Amino acid sequence: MEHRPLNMLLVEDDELDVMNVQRAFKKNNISNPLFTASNGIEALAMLRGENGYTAIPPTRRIILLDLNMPRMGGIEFLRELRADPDLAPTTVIVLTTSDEDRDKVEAYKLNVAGYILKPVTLQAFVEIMATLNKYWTVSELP
Amino acid sequence: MPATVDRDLIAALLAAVRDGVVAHDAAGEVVEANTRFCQMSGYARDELIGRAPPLPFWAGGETPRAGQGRAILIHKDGRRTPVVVTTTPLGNGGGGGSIVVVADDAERDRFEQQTSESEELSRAVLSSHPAQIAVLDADGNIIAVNDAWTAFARANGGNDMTGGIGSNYLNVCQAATGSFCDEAPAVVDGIRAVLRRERSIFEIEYPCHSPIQQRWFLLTAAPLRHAAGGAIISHLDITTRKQHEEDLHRHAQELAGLAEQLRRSNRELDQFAYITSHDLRAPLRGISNLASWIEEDLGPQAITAEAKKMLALLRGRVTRMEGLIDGILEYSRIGRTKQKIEQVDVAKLLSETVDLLAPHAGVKIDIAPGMPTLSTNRLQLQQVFMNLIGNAIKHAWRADVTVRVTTGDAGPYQVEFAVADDGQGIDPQYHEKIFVIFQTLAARDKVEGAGVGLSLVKKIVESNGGIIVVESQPGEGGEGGAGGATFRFTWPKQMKEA
Repeated sequence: MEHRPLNMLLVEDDELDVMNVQRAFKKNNISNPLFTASNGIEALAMLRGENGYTAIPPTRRIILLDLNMPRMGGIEFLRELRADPDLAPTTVIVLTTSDEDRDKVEAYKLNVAGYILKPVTLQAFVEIMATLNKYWTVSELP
Repeated sequence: MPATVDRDLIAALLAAVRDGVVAHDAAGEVVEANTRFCQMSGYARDELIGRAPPLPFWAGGETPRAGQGRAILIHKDGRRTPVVVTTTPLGNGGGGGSIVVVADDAERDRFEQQTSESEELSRAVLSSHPAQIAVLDADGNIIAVNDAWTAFARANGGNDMTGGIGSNYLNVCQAATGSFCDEAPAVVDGIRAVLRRERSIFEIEYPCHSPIQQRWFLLTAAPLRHAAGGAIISHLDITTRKQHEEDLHRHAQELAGLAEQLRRSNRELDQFAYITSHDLRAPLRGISNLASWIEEDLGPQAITAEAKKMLALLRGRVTRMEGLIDGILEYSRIGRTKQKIEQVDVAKLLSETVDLLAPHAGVKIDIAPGMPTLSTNRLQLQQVFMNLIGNAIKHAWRADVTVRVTTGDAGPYQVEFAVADDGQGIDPQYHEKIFVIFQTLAARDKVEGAGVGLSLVKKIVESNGGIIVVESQPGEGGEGGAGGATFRFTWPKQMKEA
């Protein structure tokens, strides 16, 4: 199979959770580039390649999105994203601690591709990252 | 008598008259008497003709005058009866005599007396009545009032709602200002409808507050049924009743308010517990992760055995705290989640619960027959059984513990369930403590569990209006020398959606 790298953007304000994803990538030998933004505003700027922000290659983008963040939360970010004609088709997977039904319904209304509760154990986290990577590597993306 | 008048007709007329009639000539001698007069006097007609009528004014020799007067009728047997006589002189055309109509005075007196007695009774009733009562004629003019009406009018000199005899009550109401004015138009319409006989009764409660006192009245207008029409108006002071009503209403509202406040603060407490415990989880997980990463990054060569042990302890404490947080989350969820009511076959629920608990081979779980089917919250009832049966197994300290679940009636609204084991039993001094959250009698590293289970059970049972008690003595009586413990709780037969 030809190597089709995913351009993953992790939108997460908790440094520990960022480390968690990075370590899980390393453990799974995932060589995809991992971009990080600490809130919705930063993430939008990176996706749009605005001045002063790391631009994310425009193809095969996957966003891992936390919901509870300062300045611009996950749901708000999703609304902005879906309203932007260039960014609207982007694949988003929610990765959060929020087990609230309200959040799940809202997220799926905004066309998320998945809703994953942050697992308690490290091992579970590593497994989830491996699964995600494998699935989206074989998936066609806009 | 003019010859033109038919004598038979006259005789018939005289016979038909209810009063006695006697005619005499100028000489005072009876020329005619009707049957009634004969009855009244006891004389036969022939005995009367040609002599003076047995009436004292006649006997007394007085000349009878035209008009009405009282007289005494002397009966043939000597009895004297008071009568009323109406004398009509015949003049010369009639021969100078007169016709005397004699009415039984006693009968009239009796009638008049009766009339005045019934009037007196009505007056007395009216006067003694505490309500202010007025009688209106068909046009709404006040034609009579009782003492209370007069007294009220006097006490409230300038009051809007008073009116004396002769004033028009509709005008009085229409001109009303002040506290009564809101109801005045309705009162005028109501009374008018009663006067027109469009309605049989009109009632209205209205406030009538004087500067020193808050008062309420009940106004009633009822039509007078006789031909002339009119109505009876009464005002009854209902201030005391109204105040009691208002007091009751206020107390009920206060209670409802307090109950709502309590519900709200309980909900808030549950919400608070949920949010804080949820938020505590993230940093806790971070601590656990960091401990793992330190260990990983140092590698098996660089880390000392001591450091490795400390990191393991650290992770152990994190696990315990996570257990506590889970406990709080679960405890607070009881108040946060909605009641979902369904038909629950308790026998089936129990066997499912036992399957979920998956007890090891030695454990014997005995479910008594006669388990009811309830319309209830399945999850909550299952949670109660799960915890009680689970506890019985976990704390038995024996592999061959027997748990017995029984049921019984507990009055019209509740059933009782009991979960009994033959385990080590519980000392009575701990019977209250075991239901308190995070209290556990066993050392934490010996028996897993955060001490939430029984507090959860108690909260569920009590939030459904039930009670839970434990009966146990440690190490005596029961099978195999152990005391065993029995947890009894009541559960509603019928639950409503919250």
